Amino acid sequence: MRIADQLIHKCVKKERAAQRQLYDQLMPYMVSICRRYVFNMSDVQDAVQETFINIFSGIEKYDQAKGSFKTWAVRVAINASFKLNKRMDETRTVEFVSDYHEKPVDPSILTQLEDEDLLAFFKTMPQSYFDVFNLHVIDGYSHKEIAELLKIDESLSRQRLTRARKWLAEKSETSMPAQRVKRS
Amino acid sequence: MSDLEKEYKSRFQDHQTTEGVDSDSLWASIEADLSGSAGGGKKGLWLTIGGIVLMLTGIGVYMSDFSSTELSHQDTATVVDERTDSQVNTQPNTTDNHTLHSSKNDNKVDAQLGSDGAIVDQHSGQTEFSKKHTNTQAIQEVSNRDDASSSAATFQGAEPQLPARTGGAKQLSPENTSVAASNSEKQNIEFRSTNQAKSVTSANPKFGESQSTYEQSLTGDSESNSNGSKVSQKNDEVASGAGQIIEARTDMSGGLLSEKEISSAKDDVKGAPVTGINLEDSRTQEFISLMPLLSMQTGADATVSDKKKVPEYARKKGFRPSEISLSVGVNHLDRKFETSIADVLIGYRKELNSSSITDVGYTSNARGTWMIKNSTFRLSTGLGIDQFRTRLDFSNSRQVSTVIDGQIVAVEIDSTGAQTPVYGSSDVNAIETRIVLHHNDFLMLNIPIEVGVQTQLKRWTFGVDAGASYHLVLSQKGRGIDAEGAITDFDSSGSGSLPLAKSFVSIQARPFISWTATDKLGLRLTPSFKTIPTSDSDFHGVKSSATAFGPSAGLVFILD
Repeated sequence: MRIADQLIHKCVKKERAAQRQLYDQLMPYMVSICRRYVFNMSDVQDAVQETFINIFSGIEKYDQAKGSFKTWAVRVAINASFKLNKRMDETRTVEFVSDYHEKPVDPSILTQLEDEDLLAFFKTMPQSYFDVFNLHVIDGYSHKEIAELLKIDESLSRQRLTRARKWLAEKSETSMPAQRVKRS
Repeated sequence: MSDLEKEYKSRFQDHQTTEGVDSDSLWASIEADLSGSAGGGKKGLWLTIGGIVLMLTGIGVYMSDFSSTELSHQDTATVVDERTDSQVNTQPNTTDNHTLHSSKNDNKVDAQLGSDGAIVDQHSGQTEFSKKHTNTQAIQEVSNRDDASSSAATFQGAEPQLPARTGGAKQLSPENTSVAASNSEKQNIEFRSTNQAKSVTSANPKFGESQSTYEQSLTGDSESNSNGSKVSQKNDEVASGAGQIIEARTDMSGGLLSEKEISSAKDDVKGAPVTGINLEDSRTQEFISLMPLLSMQTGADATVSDKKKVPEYARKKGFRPSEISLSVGVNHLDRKFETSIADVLIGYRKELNSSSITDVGYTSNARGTWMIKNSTFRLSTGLGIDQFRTRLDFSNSRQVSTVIDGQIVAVEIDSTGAQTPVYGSSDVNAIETRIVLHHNDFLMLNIPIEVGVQTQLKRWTFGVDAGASYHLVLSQKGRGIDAEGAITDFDSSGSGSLPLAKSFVSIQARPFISWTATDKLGLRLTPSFKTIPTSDSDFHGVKSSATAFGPSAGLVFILD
């Protein structure tokens, strides 16, 4: 995806039509980012809205020399998602359900799941692991960048990625197939 | 990289979707935000403005009180000056300009007069003012002392006609006159005149803080008196609440004088003949009795006090509190639920009964306190804001299984209570442990009425206030377990039942300890204990009660 410089320039001038055009181009991508990083799916729209408000109000801070506009926008979206998560941490309900009857999941079954279900499965991973996993594996951030973004130590970022992978390995051990059916 | 990781990466890298998002409505929201971004910080702005207004109000109250205190001190200084000045005036028909320095801290005034009545030396003082000296003062003071029938040449124009109170035998020749005035607070006023041989000593006035005695004694020097006797006059017990203003308006018995009486007394002075005063005459006695007052009043009338008239609000305390305290602190509220036996049989209420709800928040209070009976007993009221961040800590164990198509199937129950059968699981009737953590917001306004008792030890004040507080719940928002056992949202801005009643009354006790930094400002620490009576909870469908504890700290502005 390549965002035209002229469009960015118009957005800097706060031209509403240009802003709408940029929104249309970026929105599906931003939604995907936010869906991965926002803990609660019902908060995704809020995160996307916050992302675009931050993009339009701070677009003059974008430095072309430092990277593409898309990279900058992704960073804005990730920051907005983390900020929302932090805010919602104080008000959301956290429920821990014992895994007494929970069994390892067959990876072959997971591959058959819809995107939403697969994402939901990954989100059962401890959030701190999942954040690092997402940033490193999907969005290609280095541990140094992750450490800077999450305000953690670089070694801790590495540790969390290792633990995330270990968690995945434990969950994906082949066992008795299980089928999850949602009650209508 | 595991297969699962690869699968995830392939699906979500550069992934785009609009699922769950309405593009147009989202843009409308963004556009509205961009248009109104200038007003985005309105809430913060109003909070800031409110805080500033509150702070300025507090400072205003404090400063206005401080100003009235300043006036009181000035007035006291004026009185001291007039009295001293009138006693040492040896040239009543001459107008002198002089300056008197006085200190309200060490209450020491030391000045020296030359033979012509001019000050030749002066020191020690923080309060400084100048005033003109008049004949009237001199005449009044000479009359007041009753000793002015002497032949002393320096009491020109007045003393030859004044009869001595003690039968005329005691006469003073104020050559080398010195007047020393002192009070019980180390207030010393000493004037010396160097070219005369006789002395008059006056020890006055005494200004106590709560009740001061004005004692004036004049002693004639035996060298100049024909019979060598002394004149001693004790009078004027001047009650003074603040030790300052009231003294200028009290009579000899300590009672307050009305403006009418003062005015009448002034007329008496102006119209009174200076010759042939008969001490037996009632008018003269009344005249004499008012002398201490008149010397102050008429002197002030002629010179300073008209300009420094103490405002009415400074004299009358009215309903103004003795102190205002502002405090902030943390609060911890434990809510307990009570259920009947029938309720316990219902699973969710049993679960709720076993849960604990911990409310942690902050409290801020502004209170006015009125002292009763010599500052021992207190009556307090004011306003307070309490905000609680409720943590719903809910856990329970229960069987999770269901029957689908005649088969027992294990189920998962999510945070909303929805059940998901898990086919193929070997575990049925599995025991599920649920722990629910949630944070809710409660905002309350409270209006306390408390009585208390306190005791003071040097700079420390210890006491306790106890009473009741009316709580008005301004907002409550969050999630909880409703009467049906489901985790449900509640919001006071919408419809639906709520966990707390809209208003309730609590009973509370607040011990406190204060440290007085200055005579107007102190620091206070106040642990608070509060109990909220049992009441029905619409939301939970059970009865609940609560106890609260929280320490607060803040400032005390002492107005008296």
